[in-house]
Amino acid sequence: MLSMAGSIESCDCLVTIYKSNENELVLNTEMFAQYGKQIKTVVFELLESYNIKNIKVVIDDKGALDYTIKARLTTALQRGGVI
Amino acid sequence: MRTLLFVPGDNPSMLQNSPVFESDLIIIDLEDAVSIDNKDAARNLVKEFLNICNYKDRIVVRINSLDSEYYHKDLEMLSDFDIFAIMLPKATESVITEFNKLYTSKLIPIVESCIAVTEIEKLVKFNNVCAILLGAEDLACDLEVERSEDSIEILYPRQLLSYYCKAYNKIAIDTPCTNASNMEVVRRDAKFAKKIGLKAKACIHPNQVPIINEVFSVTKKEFVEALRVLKAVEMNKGKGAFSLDGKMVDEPIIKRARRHVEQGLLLGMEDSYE
Repeated sequence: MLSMAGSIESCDCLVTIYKSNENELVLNTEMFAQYGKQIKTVVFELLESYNIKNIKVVIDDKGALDYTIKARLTTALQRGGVI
Repeated sequence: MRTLLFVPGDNPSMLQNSPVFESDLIIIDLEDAVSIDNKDAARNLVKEFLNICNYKDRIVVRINSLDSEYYHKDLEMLSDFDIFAIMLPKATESVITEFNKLYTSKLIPIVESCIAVTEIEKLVKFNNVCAILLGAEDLACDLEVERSEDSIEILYPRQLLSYYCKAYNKIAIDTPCTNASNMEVVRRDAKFAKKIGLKAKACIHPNQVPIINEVFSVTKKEFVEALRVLKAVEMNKGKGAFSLDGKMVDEPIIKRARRHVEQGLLLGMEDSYE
């Protein structure tokens, strides 16, 4: 594990990142059917914006909106020294 | 402005629900409400939140103090956003002078030390200071006294703030009531603050907002009475003073009536007049 950010409180998410051979996302959420695709887009767009190609992102989602996912992932990337 | 509700900067639920509580302004807190370990996370969260927030004109952000390592990072993040004001903790004349060397934002300094109390006259004279908040908990600690329910220990700074803010056209904001469960205590505290000239009050819990809004608003009775006074003024044009219901109406009464009408109209009380 490289780093973590966020929480499992309501409206938040816990983001954990690991080194990997490629970008990948493991998404644990009760809202997968409704928001899975959207969360994936947010995560991969953010990784791409920093030209990151080798991070595994695990998200334990508790109903986080896009802005929270972006903020938590950014913090995890900063804490892990990736950006 | 009547109410300012503190919301922790690292709590997405409170951030996105903040407009629901109907406080006039929302203070997003990056200082005391955020643990040292989460300063970075809170700053990132507030940045992303402000990116999507469509009521930034109601947002105040309390940054970390000048003597902390987070101060410049907080301000750098906020430089992208046009918010209502920045709330500056541990404010003194020298702290605001330092701030103004680098930034031009509108400020709400917090008076929370004995030195700051002695400098209120100087703080209100800064052009970018739009209001001042009294921070009673830290102030009492600095003064080495206990906080009490009647708040007698902060009477002097409260009054000082009222007079200086009024004299220099700034808004005097009262310290939050730390009792978030007994709303009668909150109401009594707010009524007293209003009575001695403070114009708004900070809130630490959404439950406090409707009570404080009510206390700091003109009542319908006051609004209707003020309209009667202004109507009587029209009918007595040219007279310095006149009598209404056996009571003298002169310039201070007319001024108060105008203020009540103005506040009532802002609160949508037009229909109260029969």
